[in-house]
Amino acid sequence: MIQIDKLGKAYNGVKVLDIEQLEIPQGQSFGLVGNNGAGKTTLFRLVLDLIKADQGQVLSKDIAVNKDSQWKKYTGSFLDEGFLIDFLKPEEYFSFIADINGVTKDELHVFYDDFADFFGDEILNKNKYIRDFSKGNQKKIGLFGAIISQPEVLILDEPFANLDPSSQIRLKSLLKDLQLKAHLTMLISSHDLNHIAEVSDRIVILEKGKLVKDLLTSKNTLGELEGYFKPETSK
Amino acid sequence: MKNFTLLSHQWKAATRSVAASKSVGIKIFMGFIFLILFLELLGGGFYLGSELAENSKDPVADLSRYVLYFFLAILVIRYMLQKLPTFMVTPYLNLPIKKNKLVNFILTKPLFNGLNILPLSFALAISTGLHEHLDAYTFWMIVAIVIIGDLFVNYISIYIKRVQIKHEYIFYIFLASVAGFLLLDQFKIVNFQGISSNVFMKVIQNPLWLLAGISIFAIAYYLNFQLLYKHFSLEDFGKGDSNQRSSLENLTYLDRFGKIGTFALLELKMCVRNKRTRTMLFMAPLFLLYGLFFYTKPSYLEMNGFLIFIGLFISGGFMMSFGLYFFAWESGHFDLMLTANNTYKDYIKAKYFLMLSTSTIIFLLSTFYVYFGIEILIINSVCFLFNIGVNSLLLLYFATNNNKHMDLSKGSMFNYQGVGGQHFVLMIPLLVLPILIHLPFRAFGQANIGFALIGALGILGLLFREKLLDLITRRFISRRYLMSEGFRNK
Repeated sequence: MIQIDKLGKAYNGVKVLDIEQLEIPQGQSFGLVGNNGAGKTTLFRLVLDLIKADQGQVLSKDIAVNKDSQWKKYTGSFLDEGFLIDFLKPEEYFSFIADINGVTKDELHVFYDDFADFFGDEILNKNKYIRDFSKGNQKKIGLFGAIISQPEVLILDEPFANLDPSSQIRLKSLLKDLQLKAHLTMLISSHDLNHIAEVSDRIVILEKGKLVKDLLTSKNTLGELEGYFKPETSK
Repeated sequence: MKNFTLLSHQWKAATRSVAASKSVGIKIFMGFIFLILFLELLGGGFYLGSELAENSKDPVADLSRYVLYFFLAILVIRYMLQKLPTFMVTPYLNLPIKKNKLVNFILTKPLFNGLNILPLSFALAISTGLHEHLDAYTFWMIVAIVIIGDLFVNYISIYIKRVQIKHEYIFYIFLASVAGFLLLDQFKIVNFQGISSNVFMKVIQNPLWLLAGISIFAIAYYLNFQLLYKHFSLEDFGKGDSNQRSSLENLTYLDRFGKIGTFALLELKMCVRNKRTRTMLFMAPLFLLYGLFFYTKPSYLEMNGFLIFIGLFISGGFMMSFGLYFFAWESGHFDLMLTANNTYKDYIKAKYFLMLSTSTIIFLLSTFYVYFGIEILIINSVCFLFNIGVNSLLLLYFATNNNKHMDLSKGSMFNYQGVGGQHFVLMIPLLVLPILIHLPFRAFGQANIGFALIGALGILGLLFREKLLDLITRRFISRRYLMSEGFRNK
């Protein structure tokens, strides 16, 4: 589904991303972990053609994302507040996204019902602009916006951050559900090793822009991840 | 010690902000303009003073009749130009600093505003022109009156502005009171000159009255202090205006234009719901009224080149102030626009149609200028064609050059955040090109052919708009990384 080929990006001469080869097959739920500055967001931005690669390319369904925007038709994403239109109310934002994706009003309302749990009473019918919502609720709005179009590929940057514990748990089951039912290809980054190990089939660790570990998830994965990220204590 | 720390933080905030490091060009430009205006002010004051010295029997008494107008002018200018003194207060709230101290700190900031030297300089320039008629005592009294009066005006304008954050209607009340003052004065219903003279001659004769001036200044300061102290948590003054039903929600007829309509609706909402764009929207009618300033004077009606300029401004002024930042306005959600399922061309086309429709509406409203002659209507029509055919596309093309993040939550009057020096340069071809086209024809007495040509260019632009929009789209695509990177950089 998504193929990364000798991808490199540098800022001010410092390489922030340098990936030889990476392939994410259709239907895989792909987790990305790494400390701050490891290049997770950079990688996602490159996949979404938001920044220019210094070398190499990203292919989505065998088409380079920076050459042709076919991928936009089947890709949903939410990286940060740059994906929110802060002067809209949530419903307006959702129907904007539905409109440009050709999702009808009825379909959208079915979606609202499906997500009633996830939203709680805090998002819909609040008559409030997105900019006046809390960070956590903004995140929920963005996450929902990313899946309205019923995409084949879903790209989320730290979806669990800022969410309250119940919402985190709901989001986990939601993502697993989506992946099972819709056979969705998911790219998710997170700092929460527990969550990521739970929702991903495969986990890749980035460090200083380089791919250092590529694991298929098993019972031991969490332990392995924790071992990797354990700070070295001075003796 | 604490005051010093606060000051040093302020200094750092000012010098380390992104805006400070980026816009050297615009600073030089603004500095230049400021210098010229300052010199003109001094020259004007001196001229006024020396004229009075020559022609008036009692120059001080004559002068005193206009002091009230002088302060009113300062109030209006301060109100428009001066930024509200603010201070990132949240990080200090939990520190052991007294709230009084912080409030006073914020309130002393306007004392160090560069604008403060202007009223006094003007007064000094007048005094210099008048020096033969002034004794030392009167001179110092004038200085004292100007300083104290200006302090009062300064704090009153700040007070109005701060209240206005929460209650926008205050702006209109202010506007209406100034207009009311001018009307009452114009039709001599109230003799403001007499009042002014009474008050200020009294002060000059008896310096004890200065104390009254000082106390009204103290009251103004106290009002400010109260207001800030009460609303210190900034919660009251940060947000505002959200929880209201808006009429735009049900604006569904744009739906039938498909994605372009969706984008256009988004753009409209953006205009209405953000402070900066909203101020611009309120200023749009002013462009329409622009003609009134000039058409009423017969001497201007002879100058074709000038009329073209006005014609361009009437139907294009709004478009020009808005269009050059078409993409920058969306810097807050530009990433979404880039990844959303749409073609770039639809996205750009929506902006194009928005310019087209606003310009058309303003033009249609402006047809009443036919009152000043059919020629005016013809000129305005060709200018309108040029605006929608050529200028709109040029604006879109140039808009791809802007890659500075724009903060829409700040008001727009003289707000240059995110504006580059190139703005002013880019306006030149938009306004000057048609005049240049027209010039040779006028020189040979064929003004009408010149007008026809301007209109024809506009029509050509309309006919070939698809091709030209393709060109702009290509340009947009090649600039998209630079733009999105710049917009992300707040």
